[in-house]
Amino acid sequence: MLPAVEKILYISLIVFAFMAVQTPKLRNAVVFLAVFSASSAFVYILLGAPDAALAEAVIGSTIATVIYLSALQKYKVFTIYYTNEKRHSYGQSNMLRRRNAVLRRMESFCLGKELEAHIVYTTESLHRILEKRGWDLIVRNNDRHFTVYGMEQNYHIEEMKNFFNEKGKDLAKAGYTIDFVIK
Amino acid sequence: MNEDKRHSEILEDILQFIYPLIILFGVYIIFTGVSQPGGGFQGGAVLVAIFMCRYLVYPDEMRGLSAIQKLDKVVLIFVVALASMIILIGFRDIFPFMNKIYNMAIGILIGIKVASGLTVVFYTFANIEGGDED
Repeated sequence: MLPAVEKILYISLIVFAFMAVQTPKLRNAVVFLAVFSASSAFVYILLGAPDAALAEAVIGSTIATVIYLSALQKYKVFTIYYTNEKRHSYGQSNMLRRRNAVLRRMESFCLGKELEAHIVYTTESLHRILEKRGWDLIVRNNDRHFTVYGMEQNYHIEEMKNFFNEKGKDLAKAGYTIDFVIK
Repeated sequence: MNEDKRHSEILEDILQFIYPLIILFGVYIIFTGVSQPGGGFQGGAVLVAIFMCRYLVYPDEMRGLSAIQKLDKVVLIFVVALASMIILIGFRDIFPFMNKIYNMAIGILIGIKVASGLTVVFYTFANIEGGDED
């Protein structure tokens, strides 16, 4: 039985290492690395090195993960509030599939800038969100009309404007209109 | 950012329950490291989890950090002094029963050293000003 378990662990090591390298999102990569170290700790146990396994489990999958996550939280997180005041709630499929073309463009923009897009779906009114702090961008959806609010000191807004001017022509053809408001 | 840094009551309550378990586990690993897998380094690394959990609830500066840094340096001196004393004087040959006591003492010292050192590293790292702090 043991060799089979060992084989599964070896395969999972390769799979998770590959996924950690290939995933475009940094947060997912951190979680895959944590799983990678946990399975390598199991491999160490099976190979007869419980001491190394203990150190690997503690440091690799706990301390390193927390440090990576806190580093990601420090900066590079681009918080986008997406609000649609007409709706009362969002279904699960709505958030998972990200079918909204404008938000998808924003995510690809953030990927290009090595930012981690963190999208908050809400139905609160614009004023409630403006009172809060900690947002980088507010996207207000009114049917096919999108209004994007940003702070003046946020230098990514201008770049995003240019991005949508250059690559957003097909969006305009599909009937979407996007306005940028800088506070 | 202030909105995000408000601490959550659920985390706080659960962590109060978990703290003693973490301490127990870390101390267990340090003390059984003499005859089993484990030891000072691993136990100390487990003990750092206490301060990391504290960071999850209160992500602000910790007040006693400079004291922990001093403890780190003092314990390093003790580790080097104890190890060199035992080896140079040759206690292990004179009193064979000292072996276990010596192993345990050095394990405890290394546990304290690793725990305080990693805590200082983590807090200094976590409180570096980020890019979009306003």
